[in-house]
Parts: sequence; C-alpha cells; structure tokens
Amino acid sequence: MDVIESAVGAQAGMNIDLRAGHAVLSHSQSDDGDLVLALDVAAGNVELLPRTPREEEIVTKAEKLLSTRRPIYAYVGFLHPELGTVGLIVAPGWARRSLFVAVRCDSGGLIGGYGGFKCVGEKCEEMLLEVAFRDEDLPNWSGEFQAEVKASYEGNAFNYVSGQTPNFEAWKDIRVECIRYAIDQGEMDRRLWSWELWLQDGPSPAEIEAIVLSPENCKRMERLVRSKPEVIPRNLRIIYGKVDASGVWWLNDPAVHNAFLGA
Amino acid sequence: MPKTIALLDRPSRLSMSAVPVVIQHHEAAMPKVYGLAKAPGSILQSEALNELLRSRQALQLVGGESKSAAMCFARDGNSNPVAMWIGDDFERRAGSYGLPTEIIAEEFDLEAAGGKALVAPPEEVFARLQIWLEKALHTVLESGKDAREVATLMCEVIPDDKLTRTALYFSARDDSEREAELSWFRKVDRDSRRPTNQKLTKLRLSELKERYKEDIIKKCVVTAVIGRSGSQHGEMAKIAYSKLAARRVPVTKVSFGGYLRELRASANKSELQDLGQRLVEERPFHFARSVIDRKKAGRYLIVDGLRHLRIYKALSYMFEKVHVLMVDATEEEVKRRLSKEVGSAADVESVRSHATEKALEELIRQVPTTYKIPHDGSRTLEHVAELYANKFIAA
Repeated sequence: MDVIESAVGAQAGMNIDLRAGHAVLSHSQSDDGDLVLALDVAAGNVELLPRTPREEEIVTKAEKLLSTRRPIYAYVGFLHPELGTVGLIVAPGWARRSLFVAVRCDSGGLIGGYGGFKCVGEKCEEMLLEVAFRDEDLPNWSGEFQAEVKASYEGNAFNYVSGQTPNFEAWKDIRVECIRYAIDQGEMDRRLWSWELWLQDGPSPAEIEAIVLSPENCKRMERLVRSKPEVIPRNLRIIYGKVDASGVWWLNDPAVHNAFLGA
Repeated sequence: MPKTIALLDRPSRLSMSAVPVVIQHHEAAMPKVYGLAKAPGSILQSEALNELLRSRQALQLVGGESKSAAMCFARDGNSNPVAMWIGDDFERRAGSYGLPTEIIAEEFDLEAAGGKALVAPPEEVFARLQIWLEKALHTVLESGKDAREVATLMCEVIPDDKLTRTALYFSARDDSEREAELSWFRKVDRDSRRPTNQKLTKLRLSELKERYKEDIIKKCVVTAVIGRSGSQHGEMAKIAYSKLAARRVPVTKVSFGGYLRELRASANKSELQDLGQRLVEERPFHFARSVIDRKKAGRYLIVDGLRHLRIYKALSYMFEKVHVLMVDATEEEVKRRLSKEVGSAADVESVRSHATEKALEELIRQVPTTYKIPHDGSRTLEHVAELYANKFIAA
C-alpha cells in the first residue's frame, strides 16, 4: 500500500503545532466497544472520560503530586499500541483549552520506575516535579516543547512523531540518564521523551481530526459501514492500520505521523 | 522453548488475520511484542499485558509452548515473527463457500478462545492471507453464487486489499451499492493519504477483475517436474518447456533451484540445499509463491525442482491441477552426474543424504505421479519429453 510521505522537512524553522494522541479504552465487554466509543465521542454523543489507570496506585501518586484531579491523558504527537487499538488524533485547540499539566515524558512510567525510568529510583517524585509544567509555569510548555524538537531533531518534527531517538545529550533533566540506561539495557521506549498532556475534559467533535484503527478494528469498521453507516460521523477522518509482508502497522505508520503534523 | 502468551489486537472468531504476538523467551524474561512492523521485540510490562487482556484488547493463548515460535527464533534471535489467526466462525464459513483453510492452517499449534494460531515470519503469513484472498476472489468472479457473502468474508482478512475491494465492488447488488463501495474505498485511501482517483480506481478494479478471471490461479495447469539430484530433472523441464512452446502452447517455466541460485549466487550445491530446506520449514507458502511469481504464468506452468510434500500441498492449494512428472535415473547415472557437478565422492554423498533428498522420497511415496519417466538410457530425454508433451496436450 502506498502512503504519501509528506515533505515534513518543511517544518524546519516553522512553528510546530503538533496534534495530541489519545488511545480510547471503553472497558466494554464487547469487542467493538472501543471503536463504538471513539465514534460516539467523535459524533458528540458522549463525552470522553478519564481512563481508569492500569496501575491505580502509581498513577494516583503522580496525579497527587501535580494536581487534585484525574486527567484525561494524551501524548503530544504519539499513540502507543500498548495503550489501545483505537486512537484519537486531536487538534492543538484541545490542549489550549483544557490543559492543566504537561510533562516532558511519561509520568506514570517515571513514578513506577518502568523500563529506562528504573534508574531514577527514590528520587522519582522530585524528578517528576522537575520535568512537569503546571500553574504559572504551564504557559511555557509549548515554547519549551518546540525548542526541544527544534534542537533535538534539527527542526524536523516528523522525526519526533515517528519516534526517532532525539539528540538528547544537551538536555538538562533526568531523561538523559533514563535514555542512556534504556540504551544500555536494550529497553528503548519513546515514552522516555514523548511529552504527556493532562487535560481536564474530553475533546469536542470539532477538535477530533482523525481516528486511527488497528487492523482488527478496520474490520469492525467495515462491518459498520455496511450495516450501520449512520453511526460514522460524515467528515471524520479514518486512518486504517494495515498488514503487509513486514508485519502489522497500527498507530505508528507514516499516515499517522503525518496526521499528527496536520497533514 | 519460548512461551507464547497472548495475541494483541484481539482477533475475533469471524476473522483470519496477522496479529502481533506476545512471547516470553524464558521464565525470567520480560514478555516482548513481536509482529509490529518497525518495532520488533518491544518489551511489554506484565501489568500492561494484564490490562490489555482485561480490557479485551488482547487474547490469551492456551498452553503457550509453540514449536512454530521456537522455529522462528532458532536461526535468528532478532527475527520479528507475527501470529496468523483463524477464527472458528471464519473457518466454518470459508469451508461452507468451498474455500477451506485446512492447508494454510496445517501447522497451527496455538489455541485461544474462538480460534487457533501459529507464529511465522510476516512474509509467510502475508503470503497465506493473499493466497486465500485470490482463491476467494475467483469464487466471487466465477461462480456468482454466494458472491456477496464471500466478498464480505474477504473483509475479515484484509479489508482494504485490492483483491477484497475488487470482490466487494463486483459483488455489489446494484449500481448504487457499487458506487457506495467505491466511495468508501476512496475515503479510506484519501484519509490514509494513499493515492486515489475515482476513474483510476474504477479502471483498476476492472483490470483486476479481468486479470483474475483469466489469471494463473486455479485455471493454470501446473506440471511439477521432480527427480533426485543428478536425475536431470532440470534438463527434462527445459526440454518439456521447449516442446510445449514449439507447439505455441502458452507455457512458462520456473525453477526452485534457479530461485535459490538467484538468492545466493555464490553458494555451492550443499549450501543451496540448506537454504531450500530452511525456506520450506520457515515459510513454505512464501517460498512457493516467490518461485511462481518470478515469471508471469501462461496457461501452463512447468515447475522444476519440487522436493517437499509441504510445497506440493501449497501448490495444490494455489492451483486447481498439479501434475507430477517424475524423472528417474539409475544409481550409476545419478552418481556419475553428481560427481561431475560437485566433485568428490564425499560431496556426492553429502548431497545425496541431505534432508531435501529425504523429503523427495517422502513426496514420491505420498503423491501420485502423473507421468513417470524411467531414464535408464533406453530412451533419450528428448524422446520422453515428446511423449509427455503429446500426453499433456491430449489431456
């Protein structure tokens, strides 16, 4: 299948206005629960609510350090297949309207000491405070993020959204140690440097630019389009995952990367 | 032996799929995800796996130990295999439309609620899915019966594959349904930023329809030329090809040995045997398909150098008729020719005792030969090829 790679090199020197990615989780007992929820959210029939965290204790600990409420989590320019099979790509307006904390990496991973974060040990809470933006510091997050992408990916945001390892040596925070540790241990994971957003409410239908489907969810979508086409919002962009001779692609292919860049 | 724990993307009873698989290499190791393109062997925390299972985004496998997974890592620890899944309902429905899955599911050694699976290289799984889709498209275009049902079943394999789309388009009940299908294909392509154009798409679908109506699969008559190393089966295949071509029969010839030599130009006979054996064990359908696809097939196809029952079954699954032409030769003749080809008596013995030669013995035992040619010097290859061509054309 041919996917058009956008000329994202043109991002160099420009304002990087990346979209947010949120993996939908319905907790439904139905196999198509996540897809139905994503379509309902995109149609404005239901509001997206915070997911119940996988590890409640760890996540709650991180949340209490930085706020008083449970957020809806999203990553800047990133959807992780481990977190779901249906993803939403949401316009930057969502963060402008609803953001209350931004973190330079995955907060739960940092507090839980997962993967490359294992090296942080007991100072994890202190380190989380160091890499987070909130309260009066919050408005600075976007400028800091843009500066980081420009400096660490030679201005090419496509390299960030496609998960390439950044030039991190000049960074001044705990992530440097974590990435080095992950490289040593063979446990590289882009959550070590992907920026996390904490949002107070769900995206509006107008803010949802696309839904991204795993290959099995594409099949569920095909059933819907032939049986209940009315449940699919008319102007919703739908990005299919795919299977080819190199394996299974979902949430992480050039079409998704370009969608994060607004292409 | 690696333990296969779960399938990601929770394939359903209705589907036949390639899905990522979670594998634990040994008791103390962290589970890893395989089969995701560009992300081989990503570590999956146990908590994350449990959450995926709880939230119905992954499917737990029963038992866990898998020979197919072990084989994938035995030769290459860095491989990135994928799981092939066949759901119970898919299997039943496919069978009821005359599109059985038994042959492509022969080595499946994993079970989960609602279906079964095996672990294999992604090229192999993709080849099997494609081959089934081709058979299904033929059913849609040729029989007409159950065409719409078969087309929607193809959606449960690879919904946006060109074969599936051709089937959906041409099985539509009327023009408005056809237009709706086309409009959906265009939306999916547009949304995923794939090149699209309505006229081109219509034209392309029509071209595909014509191509598959006339194409190699099913309608092509295959003759597999088999024989021990040193029996001159390759020569026989060449002469038989020339005989048919001289009679203006639309014939094509491909060769397993030729394909292997293309892959490893500098390899000796024994190394080519090793490579062939490995490809048969790891990826039989992909191997067979790669050999067949080297040339555009005509109405008749001569396949030289078949040795394994597994490949014979793959060919029989792909094509409606597979004749077997066996070339035999005396022990003396075989040894003499091999000696000329590989050198020392030890090398001759090494070639003769290789697993591929043993596999040929099994093939000969189990598969009825359509034409058997005792090449004992009483008749020339030229002569027997003439007999074959006469018999073949008459058939």
